[in-house]
Amino acid sequence: LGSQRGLGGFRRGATGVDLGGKNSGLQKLKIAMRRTILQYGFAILITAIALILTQLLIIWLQPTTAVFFLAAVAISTWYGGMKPGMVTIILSVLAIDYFFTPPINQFTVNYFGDLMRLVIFSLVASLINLLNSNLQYSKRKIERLSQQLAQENAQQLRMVLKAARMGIWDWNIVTGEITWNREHEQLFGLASGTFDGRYETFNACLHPDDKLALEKAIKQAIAERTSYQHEYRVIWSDGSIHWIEGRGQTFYDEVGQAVRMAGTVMDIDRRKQAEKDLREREVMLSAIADNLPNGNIFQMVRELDGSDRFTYISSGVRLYGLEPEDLLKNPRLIIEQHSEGDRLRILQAVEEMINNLTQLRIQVPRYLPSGEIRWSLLQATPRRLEDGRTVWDGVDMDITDLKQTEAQLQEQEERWQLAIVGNNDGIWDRDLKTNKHYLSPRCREMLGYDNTEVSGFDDWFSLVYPEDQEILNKTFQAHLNRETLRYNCEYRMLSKNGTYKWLLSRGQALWDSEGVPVRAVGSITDISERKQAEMALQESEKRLASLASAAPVGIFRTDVYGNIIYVNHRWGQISGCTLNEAQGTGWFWKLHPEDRDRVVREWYDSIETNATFRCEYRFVRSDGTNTWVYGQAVAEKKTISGKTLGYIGTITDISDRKQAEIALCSLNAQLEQRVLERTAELNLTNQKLTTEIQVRQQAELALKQRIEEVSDLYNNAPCGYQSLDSTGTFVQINDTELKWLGYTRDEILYKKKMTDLVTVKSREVVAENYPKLKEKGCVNNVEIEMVRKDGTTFPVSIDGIAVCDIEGKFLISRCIVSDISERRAIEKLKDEFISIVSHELRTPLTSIIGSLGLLKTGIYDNKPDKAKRMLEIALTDCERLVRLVSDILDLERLQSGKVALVKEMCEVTDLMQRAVESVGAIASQAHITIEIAPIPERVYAAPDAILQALTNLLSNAKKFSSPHTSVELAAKRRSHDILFQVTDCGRGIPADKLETVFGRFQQVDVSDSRQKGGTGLGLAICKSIVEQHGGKIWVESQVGRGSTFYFTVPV
Amino acid sequence: MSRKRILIVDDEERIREVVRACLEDLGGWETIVVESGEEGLLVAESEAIDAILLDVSMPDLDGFTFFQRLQDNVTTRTISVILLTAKVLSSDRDRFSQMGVAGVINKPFNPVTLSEQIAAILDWY
Repeated sequence: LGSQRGLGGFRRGATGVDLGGKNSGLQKLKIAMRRTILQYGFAILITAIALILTQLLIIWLQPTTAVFFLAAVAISTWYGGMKPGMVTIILSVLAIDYFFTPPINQFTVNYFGDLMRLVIFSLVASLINLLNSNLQYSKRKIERLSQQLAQENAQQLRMVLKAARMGIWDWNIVTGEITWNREHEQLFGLASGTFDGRYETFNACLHPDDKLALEKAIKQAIAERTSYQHEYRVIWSDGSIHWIEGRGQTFYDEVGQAVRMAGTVMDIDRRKQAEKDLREREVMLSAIADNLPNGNIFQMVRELDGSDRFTYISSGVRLYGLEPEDLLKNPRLIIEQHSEGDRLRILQAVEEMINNLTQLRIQVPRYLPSGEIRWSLLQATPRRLEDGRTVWDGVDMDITDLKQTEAQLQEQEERWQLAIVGNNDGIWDRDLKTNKHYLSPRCREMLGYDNTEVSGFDDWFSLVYPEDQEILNKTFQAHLNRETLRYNCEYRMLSKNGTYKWLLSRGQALWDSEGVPVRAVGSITDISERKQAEMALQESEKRLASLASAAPVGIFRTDVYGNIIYVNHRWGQISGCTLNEAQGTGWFWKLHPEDRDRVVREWYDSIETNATFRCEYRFVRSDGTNTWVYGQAVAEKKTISGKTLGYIGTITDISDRKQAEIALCSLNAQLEQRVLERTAELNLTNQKLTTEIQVRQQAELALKQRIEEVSDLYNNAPCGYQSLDSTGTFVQINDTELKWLGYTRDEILYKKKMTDLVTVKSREVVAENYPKLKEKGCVNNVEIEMVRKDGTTFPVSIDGIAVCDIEGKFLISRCIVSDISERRAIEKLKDEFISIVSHELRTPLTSIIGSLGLLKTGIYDNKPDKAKRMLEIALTDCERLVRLVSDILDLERLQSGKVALVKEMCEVTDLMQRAVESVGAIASQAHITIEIAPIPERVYAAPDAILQALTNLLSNAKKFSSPHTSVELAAKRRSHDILFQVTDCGRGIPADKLETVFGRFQQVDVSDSRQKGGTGLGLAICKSIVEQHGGKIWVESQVGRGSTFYFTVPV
Repeated sequence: MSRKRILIVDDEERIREVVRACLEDLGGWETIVVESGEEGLLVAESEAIDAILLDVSMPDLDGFTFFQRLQDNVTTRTISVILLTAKVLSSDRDRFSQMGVAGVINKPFNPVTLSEQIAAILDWY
């Protein structure tokens, strides 16, 4: 209902405004005056009414008579304002004074009290008047303001509606009347004020297609009590169609019946057009995007949280087996088809694009679930949105075909290059306009030039063999003039080494549209070999022709059918017929009639079996005589196809032989007779022979045995045997020597020289001695080093004699080869021994000679101490010398075995005690105790020798022991021998010396002999003694802890 | 000319004594006597000496190694070395001649002329 009133107010307001615009200022004044008169009149009238009422009701009013007057003041002031109120107050005071203040009905006042009452009344009435008039003023002002506001609102609304081209309608559903404003009429293409307010008129304006829908929308809005909104078309009187949007609201009465509907209409033509355009553009864009061949268009956005998502992606992505809808939900799907590395590469490129706002352009392979690999070219352009997000629009082009084409092109290029390299041809390319000349490296390489040489065509041309230059020019020019299909020329060129090489140059020119040659391209082949072969062939053909004509045999050639096409001079001589007579099958009829069939048969046989035709037959000469010939022929075949071209053959005159054969036949007959006679004689002789053979066989057997014996002696001799021929090459060698050398006989005989099997140094010796052997007849003790097959060498001594023929000419050598490795080793040992002994002898001699020499000078004559010291030195070293010499003698005697040991049964204990006694004195001097553990055993040995061994060991032990330690000598009976052991607590022997200490002069420390007074032979002597007894000697030791020497003597 | 100072390196005690007596009492030179190669190298480096009389067969350091180490050291390289050795075989002599020593004196030597022999080798007149 409020809405209704508002709308009504609007309508009223609208009219009011209209009226206000028409009234004059005079009329306004009149109204104000009338209004003032009314107010004052009302003030007088209300006072009169208050007077009457007070008069009538005075009985009940005592003592408050002024009530009604106060009410009169209030009412008067409410109605007329302050001034009419004042009139009421004055009149009321007068009335109260006159009528109700004693003296009654007089204006005089007798009592001060009554006067005060009147004054108070006046004040109270004035107060009421003031308040009431203020209240009235405020109320008026509010009313005026709200009226003004309503007017302004209405005006604004009107302006807005006008500006918005918005129409207003109001439909009274009950009466069916419709009210439109001016804009509404305009929107429906009607002239202002021409709408007659009927629904039919409205309906007639609608587009026929929209009528039903609009009606339905209205009904629905009413039924469902929703606000109505609908877009529809109207047709103007000029036939143009316009889009309208209508909105409205329905009003219902108390029973829920729709009574009224009001709302607006709006022109939406432009929006509709824009919407249409937009739709069309979208359709176009998506058509472009979705039909993009081999690719897709997309837009991605980098959100503020760093995540990426597609805002759009065209259906081209289905090429990769992906659905655009899936990608919009999960953008990662698209990148999952790339390999790990490519994924990183793409993400990096995207980051770079976003950070620098640069374009993205990247090529990546994609591995589809089908197993296919497709190449993508990703391109995108980024832009930054105002809210900080980044959007990039991109294209993903499938460039697989491009890649494949690229690869194919490359492959073709490679294949072409390979082909060029493979056929070994050079390539040239000559621009005939600029005369620019390209030569592939192979061109120069063929001739031996490097790439810096022979640059232009002129350079190249200058190297062509002078006589060939013209041919080359002519041939090339002829091709340029299109006289030949292809350029093809063989010519010679100067190669770097100064020789000429034959080249085959082939090519093709290109002509422009006017027929002018612009370019020529071709290849160069080295045909030197072919040329050489050709020339050789020509040469040989020439030679053959001259050979044929001059040959001492008759030569003929026939075609495939046997027709003669060539005969040489000699053939004519032999056969007795000329070429003319022989040509074709003429020759056949010159054959002896008896031979013709045979010759033909043989001829065909040999053709069938592909064999050489060989036959003896006769020609009948014109004088009737016969010539026997031996004819031979072979098929002449094409080299490549093997097709028979004809036959070529010879005839030899064998008449003489044939006559001889005939003569032979008669001789044979005679011989046969003689043979029979001889056979009888032979049978006799045969019997004799059989007996003789038996004797011989026995002799042979004996010989064979002898040979075997000799061979065994030769091959298995303990030395090598060898024989060399005069050049020094092996012609014989025995098994022993072969074994030494490691070769087989076949590897050496007639293949190796003596010098091949000796060291470089020995070659000189061989070269020096072999001529000597040949000259003098023998050599002896030639010592050389031979080399085995494995490269190792060994020394040999060779004794040889020369074997000569009767005339004394040298045939071969016979040599004995002795392996002297062992001898050499012994010599080396001997040399070493001499060296050591020499040194060991000279050392004490030095001190002796030195000290004695000094004494002799007399410089110490007055220095007896020094002189004495010199004598001491001499004496000490003399003793050392004596010990050394006696040790060497002992050892020599023991090792030579010349002195047989005199063995007897000895008490072990006795031996041990005697040994300890012999060293006891010196040992106690050095504060060393010797402990002995004797056993009651006997041993069969040479007592002096065993004693010497024990003494040596004890004295060694003593030497290497520190003072106040002990040395232990013990013996033990074992199953077959007695084991002696000498243990000390000395410094011990390093592991690597445990064996060598038993050698001569092999002290652990070289200086030991000087310091300890030993000779370096003691243990060697012990070893010899023990070994002479058939025992063993060894030592066990720990460095720093001591050593134990053991030796055994068999029982 | 100051008195010559000779370093004697020999492991044989009695030979050392005799050589020393020859050089000091007959030659009138000063001597330093050591009994091992290592000791000799230390002396050669620290003392001013005019020549070294060197034994070849020594337990710790043989004459060849001694001489090589002497040559390898800049301070001792210039000292003249004479070998005093009992090795007299031709094979030994060949080795000595390749070493580059000033001279070789065989053992046994003549005690009376030893100093003269040394002086002759080293051109000390």
